Amino acid sequence: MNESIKERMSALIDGELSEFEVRRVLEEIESNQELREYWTRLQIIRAGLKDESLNLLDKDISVRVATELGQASKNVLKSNKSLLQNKLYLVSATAFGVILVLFIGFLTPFDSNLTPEETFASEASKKIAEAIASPEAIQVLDKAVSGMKVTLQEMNSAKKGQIYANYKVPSNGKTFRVSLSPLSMSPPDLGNSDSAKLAYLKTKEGVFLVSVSGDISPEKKAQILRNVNFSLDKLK
Amino acid sequence: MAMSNQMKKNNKDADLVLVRRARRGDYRSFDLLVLKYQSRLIGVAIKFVKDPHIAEDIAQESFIKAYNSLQSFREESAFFTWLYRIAVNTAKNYLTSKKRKNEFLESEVFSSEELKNEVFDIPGGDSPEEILAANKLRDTIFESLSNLSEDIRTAITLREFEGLSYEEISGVTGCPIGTVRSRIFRGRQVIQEKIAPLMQDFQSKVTNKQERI
Repeated sequence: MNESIKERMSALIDGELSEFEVRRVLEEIESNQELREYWTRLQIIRAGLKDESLNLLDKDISVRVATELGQASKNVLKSNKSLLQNKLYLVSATAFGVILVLFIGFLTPFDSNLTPEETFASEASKKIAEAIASPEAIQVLDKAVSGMKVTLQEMNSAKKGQIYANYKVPSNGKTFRVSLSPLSMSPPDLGNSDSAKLAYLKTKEGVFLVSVSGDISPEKKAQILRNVNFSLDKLK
Repeated sequence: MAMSNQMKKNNKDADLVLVRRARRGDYRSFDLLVLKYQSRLIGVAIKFVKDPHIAEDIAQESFIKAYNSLQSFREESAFFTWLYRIAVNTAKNYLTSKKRKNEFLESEVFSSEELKNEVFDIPGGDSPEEILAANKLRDTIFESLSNLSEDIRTAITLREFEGLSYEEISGVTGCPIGTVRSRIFRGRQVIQEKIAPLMQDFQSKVTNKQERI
């Protein structure tokens, strides 16, 4: 890493940079995760020397804050999110591919024999696949579990067009599922005691139910749905 | 006392460079302030709500409120003092609303049973493991400082403990300001290299602790 930029960052935490230099430093940091981590370590050194608390150093809410403030499309997030986004794009693309093949398989030989329900399910699958393959939807999924140390295990589609994203909490092995279903269908697992409350996701492809179920607390389920940040009010 | 005031002044000024840019709409500046203060702000919130996840939410909301209210920050106090007040108010508001919400939740069918079994994943951040890791980190920082060459150690000491500006350090040591800046950077660089492996150790201890719960 360039020593010059590090030296300027060191001067920045002391408030000893000119306006011009500050601008240059910000430009270099914004898309460089390594420099962001360096900035954090400089703060830790300072906190250590000043006998301030050195706990909670593993917490990073900067992406969540930026997302909430509408800075999600800015470079400041690119360095943090690129890995997850690539993974989600891959999963989404795979899910889309599988669903598209099934959809074509449904339509090609038996097109005229499809029941209205099957036609709807196929169409819904396609629309959900398109929706979750979009960068906006990936952001929604990413945002849904932001701040939670979870791993995306798999993403599947169900017979009636729902999309399930299964997550695992590595620290305790608990699993949970975020489901997306077309609004006009019956919500999944509503009769199940594990089912949480619902949120609604509005995309250009239509409105989908978002639900969370599984072996996690009601607070965490609510947190996921809150993170999705769509409510009935916004759909009106 | 005079030196203490000098230190406060310099620390305040250091943030103002970023605050003023953020106020003009440069989010990158605010992002650096978030990185700088997020741990401390979560620590403030945790004292009120205990649950680290909720503390993170409160810290997040506090940063959002701060960003949206930057125009009202009059620079009469340090930026963190202002941010701290926002976090305390946000935490208090949360506790008030939670009290109301809990009264409502009592009537919900599936919430009450699950709430009884609720176990939060991460405790408050002051476990023995974390305290040990934090102490080791702090010891390493001070040990690294004491091993620096005298001119570099002097520059860092005057900056961090006495709160002198680069110009003032230049006056004290008789070195050009550029040399002061370079010495402080080189000292921090050495310390930074020493603590880098400990940061991983620190985080793994926290993770291990979480896995046991």
